[in-house]
Amino acid sequence: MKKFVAMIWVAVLFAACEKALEEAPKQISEENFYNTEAEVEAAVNAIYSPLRNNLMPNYIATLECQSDWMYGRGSWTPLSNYRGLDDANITRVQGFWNNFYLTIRNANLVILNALEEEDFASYVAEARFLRAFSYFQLVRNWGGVPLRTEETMAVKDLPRKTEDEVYQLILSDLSAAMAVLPGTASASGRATKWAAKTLLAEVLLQLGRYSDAAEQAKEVMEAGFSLVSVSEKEDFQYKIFGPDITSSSEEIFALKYARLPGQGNYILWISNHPSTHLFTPGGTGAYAVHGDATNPNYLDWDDRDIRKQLWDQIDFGLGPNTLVSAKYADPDALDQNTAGNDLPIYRLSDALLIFAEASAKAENSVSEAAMEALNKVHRRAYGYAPNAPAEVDYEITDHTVDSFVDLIIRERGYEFIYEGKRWLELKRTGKLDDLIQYGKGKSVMQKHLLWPIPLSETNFNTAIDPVSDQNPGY
Amino acid sequence: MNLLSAGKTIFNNEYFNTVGPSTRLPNDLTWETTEQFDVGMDIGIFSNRILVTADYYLKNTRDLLSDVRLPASMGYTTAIRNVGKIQNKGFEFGVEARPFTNEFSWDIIANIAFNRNKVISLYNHEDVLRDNVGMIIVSDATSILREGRPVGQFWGYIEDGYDEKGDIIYRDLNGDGNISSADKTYIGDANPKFTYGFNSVMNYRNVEFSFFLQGTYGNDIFNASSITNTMDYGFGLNMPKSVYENHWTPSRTDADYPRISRSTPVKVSTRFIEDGSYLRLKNVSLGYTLPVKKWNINKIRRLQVYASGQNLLTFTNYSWWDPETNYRLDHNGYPSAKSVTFGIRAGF
Repeated sequence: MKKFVAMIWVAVLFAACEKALEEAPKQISEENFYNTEAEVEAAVNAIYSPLRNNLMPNYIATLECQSDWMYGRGSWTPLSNYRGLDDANITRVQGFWNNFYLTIRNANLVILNALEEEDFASYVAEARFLRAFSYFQLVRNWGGVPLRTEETMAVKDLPRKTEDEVYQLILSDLSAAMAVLPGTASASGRATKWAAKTLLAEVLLQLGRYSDAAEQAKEVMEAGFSLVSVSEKEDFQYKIFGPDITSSSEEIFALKYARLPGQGNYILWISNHPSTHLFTPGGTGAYAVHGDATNPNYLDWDDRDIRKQLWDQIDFGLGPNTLVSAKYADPDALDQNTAGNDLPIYRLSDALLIFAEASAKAENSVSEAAMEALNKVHRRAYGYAPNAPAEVDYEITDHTVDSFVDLIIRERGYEFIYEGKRWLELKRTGKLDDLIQYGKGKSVMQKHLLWPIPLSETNFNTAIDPVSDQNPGY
Repeated sequence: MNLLSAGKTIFNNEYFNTVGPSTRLPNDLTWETTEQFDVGMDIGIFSNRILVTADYYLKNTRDLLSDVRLPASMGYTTAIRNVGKIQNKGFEFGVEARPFTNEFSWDIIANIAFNRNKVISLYNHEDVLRDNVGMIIVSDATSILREGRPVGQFWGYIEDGYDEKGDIIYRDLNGDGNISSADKTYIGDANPKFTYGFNSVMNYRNVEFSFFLQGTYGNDIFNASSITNTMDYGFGLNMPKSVYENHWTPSRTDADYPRISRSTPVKVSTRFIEDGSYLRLKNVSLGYTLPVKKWNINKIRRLQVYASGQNLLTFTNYSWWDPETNYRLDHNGYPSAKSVTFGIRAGF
């Protein structure tokens, strides 16, 4: 026994000795990193951080304020008035600009430092996907922006590029990413080939390349994703957007959060009202972006649509018709920073509706497949099995291409509330003026269409003139 | 070296490591170097009971290190850079006088300093915008380094009253009908015309009375503290009473504050530039030395009881907490405390 103890002592001493002699660099720097798979993966993970930390929840809420049936409260109010941004919102969108470019920088670092190594190809592809995603947000909200790539990331003064040039980078990043990204992610929340294809489909739809968009969306539709069956609103709250699921069968890409300190989804704080007790056991939330029961879109909405129940009518001082969203719920969150719900970016519904719209526009007729794609999303929301015909289905014979596209736009309105898609969709389809007028009775000033290039850029980038290169009205 | 730091993110409902750089971009830096030229003169008169000193100095600093802001699209927001060359020159005068040296003694030390500085040259002759304030309603630089101008040159918009709605009118300097950063100009200077101090120590028998005054004259302070606290009406914050009593209404168009609304437009402007001149009684002290010798207490050489006060009086027009900031920008800087001390000083 004594001998055994002595041996342990020797082992301990020896181990201690070895540790002391190890010569690890004390600090990690760009110059000595990106050498192993674990290092490159950690660098890729850092691309997700700015998106997840306050950027995407706030960005989505900001875009929703500009939609045809949601309203910003307090400092968010001017977003819903369509007369351009005031200083508080200029500062708010400056934060988005800064953080999208922080995401892009982190992606560029991976592309720059891991590009040559064959083993790291899928990580470089993931970086390209996230870079394309960020530029797609930038170009739709600010127009042509400076193109920071692995080649230009160190150049201080960089001019605005045209929208075309930005889209060229997005397309080339996505085609490179798609070719390499795996079909199944190594961990839920990492970008896959299908995430890249859905993003590409939306980019192509934006660019009016309808048959290409339909082709990409169709591949995603056939990749094995399936809509979650729903029979009550709790199924939406907990089986699709819930805090306890890791992912759902319809999730294509989502930003991941967890009920862990500082790792929660901030959008629950923005959307919830304390009285519903849907967020933390005691109930909390800022209900900063809300709806209104007198909005014609809400009045038009069929009561049988389960999604309509994701709104609670709460009078918190703006009158009895105020609606507060119940879409994102985590009653077991520890506090306002620990909502475990993921933030949906792309779901199967996106691919289905992109396909429906793109193929109808490409073929200039409504095909069976296009109608079925729309009906899947539509009937699921009424509680029917997604893949079997139901009595609420739309019929081809009732529709022209135009009225079919209008149906899709309406369906997107119901399906993607609080997912940040509406405003950009209205701009894309040219329905903006009509639908904002219809929903809110307001006209949209030209200067509201693009956000201003922020001072954090124009003050320090001499290649962008603060007056002549600024967006209209600012 | 571009140092990377570790963090955490989530996939699969689990922690994953992240490693990425901060928002400060490293640079190849060299040391700041300073060359100084001094001429001085000391005169003592009345057997050195009055000493007068006068100094002139000229100080050139090359490779001045300064935080430089980078365009946000770089993903880095700041870098330290050797930005250029600045010059400081000035006069310092001091008087030490002992008008009485007997049972009543009085020592006086007074000094006054005049410093002027200016930027001689900058990297690429490019302006450096700095001292950013980042708040919800204003996020912009407040000062500029520009060749030929002093370090501490405030930079912003000029206000011209209010429009018919009660919003602030900013002067359209370039006349293009649009208010943009091209309308920013010099709005103040953080450098005092002079700084001064006055120290007096009087002794009469066992009583000692001393005080120390200090002050600055002619310097501006950018009062960033007041931006959120008097201008941001969107969040139901507490405001000074003057905002309530003196904001713009159709019948009070020359008010101190604009109309109250959730989205009152605010820019870095002359409004926040305040005269930072002050005169402060930094210290005043009254002491009495106990006659320990008389009491035959040999272990203690000297025993004094005293009362002293710090920062008891300040004369200034500065509206916020404390003009004695050591920086151009006052953003809720912790103010100097007023304090009163009673004590015993013993020497063994």
